[in-house]
Amino acid sequence: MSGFDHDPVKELFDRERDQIVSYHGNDLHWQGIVRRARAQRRSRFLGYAAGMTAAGLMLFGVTYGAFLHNGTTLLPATSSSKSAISIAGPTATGEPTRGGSTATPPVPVGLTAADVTKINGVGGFLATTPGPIEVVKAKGSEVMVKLWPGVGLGSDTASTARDDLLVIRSDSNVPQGYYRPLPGHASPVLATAIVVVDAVNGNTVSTTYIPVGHPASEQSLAALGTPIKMTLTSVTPHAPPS
Amino acid sequence: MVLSVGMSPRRDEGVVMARDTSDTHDGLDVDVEVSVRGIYDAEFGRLVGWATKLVGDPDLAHDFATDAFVKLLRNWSTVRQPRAWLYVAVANLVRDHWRKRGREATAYQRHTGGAPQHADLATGDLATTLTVRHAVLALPDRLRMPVLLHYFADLSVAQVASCLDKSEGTIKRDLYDARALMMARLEGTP
Repeated sequence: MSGFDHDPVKELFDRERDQIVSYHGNDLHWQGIVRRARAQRRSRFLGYAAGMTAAGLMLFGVTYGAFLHNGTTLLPATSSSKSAISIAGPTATGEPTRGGSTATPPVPVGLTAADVTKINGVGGFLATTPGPIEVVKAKGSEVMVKLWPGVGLGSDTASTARDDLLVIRSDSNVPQGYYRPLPGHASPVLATAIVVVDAVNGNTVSTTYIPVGHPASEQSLAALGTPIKMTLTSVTPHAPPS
Repeated sequence: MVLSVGMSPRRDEGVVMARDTSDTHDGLDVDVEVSVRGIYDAEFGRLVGWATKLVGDPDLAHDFATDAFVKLLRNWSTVRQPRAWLYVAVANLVRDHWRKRGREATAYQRHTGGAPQHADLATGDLATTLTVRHAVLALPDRLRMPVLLHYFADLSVAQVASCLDKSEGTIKRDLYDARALMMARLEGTP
């Protein structure tokens, strides 16, 4: 700006700057700024944490399937098991085939390492379940499970509300965690849900929600994931408790 | 809400460098809040007034400045020159606002058969009546940000270059071109 005796441009900006009226902030406004920043950071962190959890469980599943459980059974027969049966998918006529008798000798469920990888890759559904899930009997030839992973499922929450269904293979990719108002909650809750749908009649068998936190705002609903389908291909029956 | 320009100036001597994070509250470092609160007390009022001169609406300017501080809190660890960063953030919002208003004006002119909306600007002594808003709006888009940040926000050429992620030579050339255009307009030469 120097070098001009009469500089209309400089005069213009000097004049305009002199006319700037300063406004005053206040504590209340400042607290609003802090709240907004916290809310945005929290929602961003939750999305990041959900993604990292899913990735970690995926990695664990791959490692478990490829190295620790190579080609062996995922669900060893328990002391109460009588047999393991396989249930095929729907027939060409749409009629499901049923499993065999529970009187057969116990044999391991025939899962490959790839199966284990796929199972464990879906949010650690089975990988984080301590011990085999006891299966009483098969109810249908096929079930589909909608699973929103994002957190590992503990032993108390892995139940699908029916002991006779066990998901052992997925057929889709892993979505992120999601927010949804749960029954009894006014605001959306970050949760993992397992929805078991009977593929034969399409009825929902059970829905299990596992709340894991409260999102900052309704905006988090945008993170709602697309459910994935899982197909029940095998179950391990055992004798019901006498 | 687009902050499209470089928002992490690094080439200048940093006024505030990256900080340690220790005590956190809901994901925000308490030290960060204290630091940004100091900047808020010092700069917020002036920033609102600065933006008001550009958009002509104190409420909108207040919103722009508020948004800038929210972003500053969130991005504090990457910000080295908070004052320059704030002005760039608000200038981006102002520029977006201008573009939006420009599209609206174009649509309105098309609707009204091309009648000019700001005939008042063509009359009077521009040297004394021209506002910075109209002066900058008359410039090509690429020249507006350097002019706003250097001439009106008093940022140095080096700071402007760093914030806009351009070389100082480019900024100097833009300022030279902008000055020539504004000078011609103020002096009434074609």
